[in-house]
Amino acid sequence: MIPVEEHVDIEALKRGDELAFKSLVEMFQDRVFHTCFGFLGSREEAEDAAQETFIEVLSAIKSFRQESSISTWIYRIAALTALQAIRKKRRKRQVALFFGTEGTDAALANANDPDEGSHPLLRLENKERADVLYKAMNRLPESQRVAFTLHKIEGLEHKEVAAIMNLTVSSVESLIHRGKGNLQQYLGNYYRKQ
Amino acid sequence: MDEKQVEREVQKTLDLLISTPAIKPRPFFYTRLKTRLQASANPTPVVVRLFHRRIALAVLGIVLLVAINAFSLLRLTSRTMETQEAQAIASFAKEYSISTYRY
Repeated sequence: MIPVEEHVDIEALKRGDELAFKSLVEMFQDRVFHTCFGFLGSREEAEDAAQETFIEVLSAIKSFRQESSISTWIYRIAALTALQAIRKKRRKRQVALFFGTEGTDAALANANDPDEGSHPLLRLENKERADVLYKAMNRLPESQRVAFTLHKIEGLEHKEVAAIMNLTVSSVESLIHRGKGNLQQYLGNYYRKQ
Repeated sequence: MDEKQVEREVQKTLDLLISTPAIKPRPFFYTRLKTRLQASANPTPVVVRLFHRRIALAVLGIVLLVAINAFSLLRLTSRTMETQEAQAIASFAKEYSISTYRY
């Protein structure tokens, strides 16, 4: 849930105040990281994307016109950064496939353990399920993926997702509905083959 | 797997989206971010990089030259040895009136 009041000193950020930036990072790092993890499924990649997000925030803050809330803006950058990382991964895989150097599906096999601390057997089963889920989510069209991830994984309301994606609420609802339908189809096909 | 089992598995997998606890970054995220920002603010100067590239090219050129010369020298040496050997055989054959033709 995006908080109604955000104690972010935007003017200080625009001046390049380090304390203001540190405060912003500490306020949003969990949400940004969690969002990136929702897209990428790997702790290492999520950390990289989260750092890229804040670097982009720092470089673009001077052009932030405050037409939306700062959290909406940051979520938007996080989603775009994560999508760029996914595209880059896909291109690398295509090159590796072309040269016959691709190994196992490392990108999605790296889906990190989502429930650390639970029973090892459950953890393993969930890791395998998480791998299957991320593979299916990777197949979604980007807009469906973004809407679905922000709503289902990040837990944002439809209107919050709409603000982030610059869409209407009904468009977002439609994307989430179609995304869910596609996921059910991909997963169904996968489990039928088992 | 029958259709009902497939549906159950699909739902269990989708439920991971809501049942998975929120994942947080490792501690000291800001410290690592700051290090990265500082590294990008102080990159290796372009001049130094170009200099290294020129040195690398020069070394490669020298290695190629040496390799070509060594190859040429080797060929020349083996030809000289073959010629000397042929001459020695010819003079031996002449001395003992033996034909050097091969049948």
